[in-house]
Amino acid sequence: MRVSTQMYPQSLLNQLNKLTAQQQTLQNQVSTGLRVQEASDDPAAARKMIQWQTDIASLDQFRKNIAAQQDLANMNRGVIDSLNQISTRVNELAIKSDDTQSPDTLSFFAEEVDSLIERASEVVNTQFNGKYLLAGTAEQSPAFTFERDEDGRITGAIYEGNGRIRSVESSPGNKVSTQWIGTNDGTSDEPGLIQDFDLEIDFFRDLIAFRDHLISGETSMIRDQDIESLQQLEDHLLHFNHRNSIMQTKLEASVATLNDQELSLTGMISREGEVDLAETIVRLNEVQYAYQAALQSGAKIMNSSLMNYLR
Amino acid sequence: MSGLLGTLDMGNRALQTQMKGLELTGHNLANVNNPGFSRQRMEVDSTYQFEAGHQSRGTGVDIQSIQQIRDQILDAQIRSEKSTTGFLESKMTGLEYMQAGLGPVLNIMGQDGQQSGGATGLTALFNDFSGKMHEVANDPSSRNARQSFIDAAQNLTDKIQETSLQAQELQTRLDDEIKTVASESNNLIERIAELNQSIQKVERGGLKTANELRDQRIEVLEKLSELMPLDVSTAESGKMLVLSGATVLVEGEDVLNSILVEPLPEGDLTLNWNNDNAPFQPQEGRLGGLFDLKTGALREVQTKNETLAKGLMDIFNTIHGAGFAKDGSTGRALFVGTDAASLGVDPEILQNPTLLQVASRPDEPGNNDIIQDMITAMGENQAQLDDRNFIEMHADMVSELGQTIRNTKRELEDQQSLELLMQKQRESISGVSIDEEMTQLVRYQRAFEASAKLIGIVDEMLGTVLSMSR
Repeated sequence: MRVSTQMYPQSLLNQLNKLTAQQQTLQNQVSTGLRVQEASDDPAAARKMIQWQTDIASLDQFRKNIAAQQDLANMNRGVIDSLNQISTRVNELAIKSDDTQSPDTLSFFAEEVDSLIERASEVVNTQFNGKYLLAGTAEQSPAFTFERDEDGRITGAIYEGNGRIRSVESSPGNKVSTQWIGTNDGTSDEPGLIQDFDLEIDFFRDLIAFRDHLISGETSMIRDQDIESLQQLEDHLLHFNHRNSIMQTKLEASVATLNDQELSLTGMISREGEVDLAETIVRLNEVQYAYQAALQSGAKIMNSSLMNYLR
Repeated sequence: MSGLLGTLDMGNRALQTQMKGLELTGHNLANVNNPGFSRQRMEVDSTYQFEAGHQSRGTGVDIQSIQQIRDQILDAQIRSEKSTTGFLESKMTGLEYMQAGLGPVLNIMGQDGQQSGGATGLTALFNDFSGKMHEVANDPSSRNARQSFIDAAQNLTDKIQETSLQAQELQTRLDDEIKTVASESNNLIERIAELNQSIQKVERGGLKTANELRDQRIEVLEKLSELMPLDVSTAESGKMLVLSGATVLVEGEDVLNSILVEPLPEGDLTLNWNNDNAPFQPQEGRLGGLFDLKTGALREVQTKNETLAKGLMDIFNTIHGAGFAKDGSTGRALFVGTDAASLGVDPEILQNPTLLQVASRPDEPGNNDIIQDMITAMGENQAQLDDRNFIEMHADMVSELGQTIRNTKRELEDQQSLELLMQKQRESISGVSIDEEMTQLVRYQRAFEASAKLIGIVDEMLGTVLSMSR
């Protein structure tokens, strides 16, 4: 093949250009640590990464949703615990309230029960972030309002909330809620904490009845009726406490699963999108050697011609 | 003839010839770095013989012609390759600009010290949009949650709007470039006709070859074939024909057609041949590349972006419209606008986040049914998005453009190597080699010296002859 003078510099320039471009790419990869920066670097990987990034973002969001539900569950636990304490004390008093007690003692008991009812009336209207916990989705107004007699005693509780709860997603397609409604009037699928027509539970009705029996000294009613209904109430609250705990455990387990998923997704993104530093640096070195070799050999060849030997 | 004076004459011719050869070598050497130059060789021939009795005697040397060393088939091949290279180059430049312009939208990995794996661009905005929906679902009556969701929605619509504007701007740029390239092509078409005329003038007698002008014409033809597809042939009259497809651009010294840029409604444009009045739809060359980009990758991005915008409006407005705001009002659309360029969040909702309709019943501030439906819609495949969800649609948009860029890049690299190979072949045939020319120099110099020696000897002999008569 005939080699013209132009061919050397031309092909040298092309080789140098190619090598410089390679060096630039590799150097960029090394310095950023990223293999895929633009979609054209690896379109298939880019597509997967967008999906994974979205998956990670939603995992993150699910964790936040769960955290919010955990906060709610903690608040609910407090409410249920308080009601439990009240119920326990009322049950103690009910057992003590037999014929052996003097009317004075019974009226002391009545006063204590009344104050416990007052306390309960506050507890059932507990707010969280300015919202009433037990009011269902009608959370802007108190869950319960109370009727009182001329002495100011609570004679009845009226549920102002509704029977619907708000659930949020804890994983794709799975909804979770740690909200409890105050009253199930028989139309809701949710159990009512304070009143449940299906279960024949009515916290305030039973406490008020017990108090009124104490005031009127009807210990037989207490023995025949209140002790049983108050015990049932106690069981109901314990059951709720249990449910709430199960929910909390479930949420914790969900968070652990989400964390595992995120870890593996992050690993996948890193594998697709980040450079293998060792390999890239070795390749960069190779390209640099080739570049130096091209420069050196090119300079040598271009420096000599027949002119060096003709006088 | 012949005799001493004849020999002197022969020496003179030989001197002239060697000098001419030397001059030609100088010319070749001077053009060693001229890429359009093809080396020239002097063809010499011995001059007429004459018969003297039984002998025939030579009378020396004379120049036959100055020949260009060229391979016409290779020239035609290089022209065609240049068309393809031009096509790919202009497409690649446009695509790179597109990737840079839409970068914030299409970037997938964090840069500039951002944590790797973090989404950027539209991906991040979509993720933020759906994240903020969850925040509202967690706490539907919170003004803060509602406000952040509205902000996220606005950021998303802003980005889609920006993408639309960027694409529009790119289209304007491409149109401008098409106009520039078309007028450049017209100049080159005229230049070919002019060169044909000049070549014809020089070569009229049939004795001389306009080597330099022919070199120039080949260069101009190559430049033009970079811009548009080109064929060169010869008319029956023997005149040179330059064609693009079936349209004759130049016949001999006459320009028959040049490109006419005609505006279309909505800022678009089309190309026509001015004389044939036929449409010109370039498939090759830079013009072809620009049109391909405009009607291919760019339109694809525009269409997908429009689909995203329409999808947002259709899907979310339907769901949102059925919901109830905090004040019990209903029926309001979340997104306003008619296309990607005008997409935005309802201005009243922007002002007042309580107007966001997230509840399925009035007077239930804690109800999140509607926003939950929106969350579901975000992840579900939608008929409006060709049975994909929003993120998949966006991911397709990014990866398809990425694939186009990658393919074009690869094709361009292959094409450049191919063209380079052909250039090398041509260079190998037509290029000047200093070593070779130096040898030629020595050869002509020595021949010159020898001829001079001959003249010197003839001179001496003439002197001897003249001194005889003294």
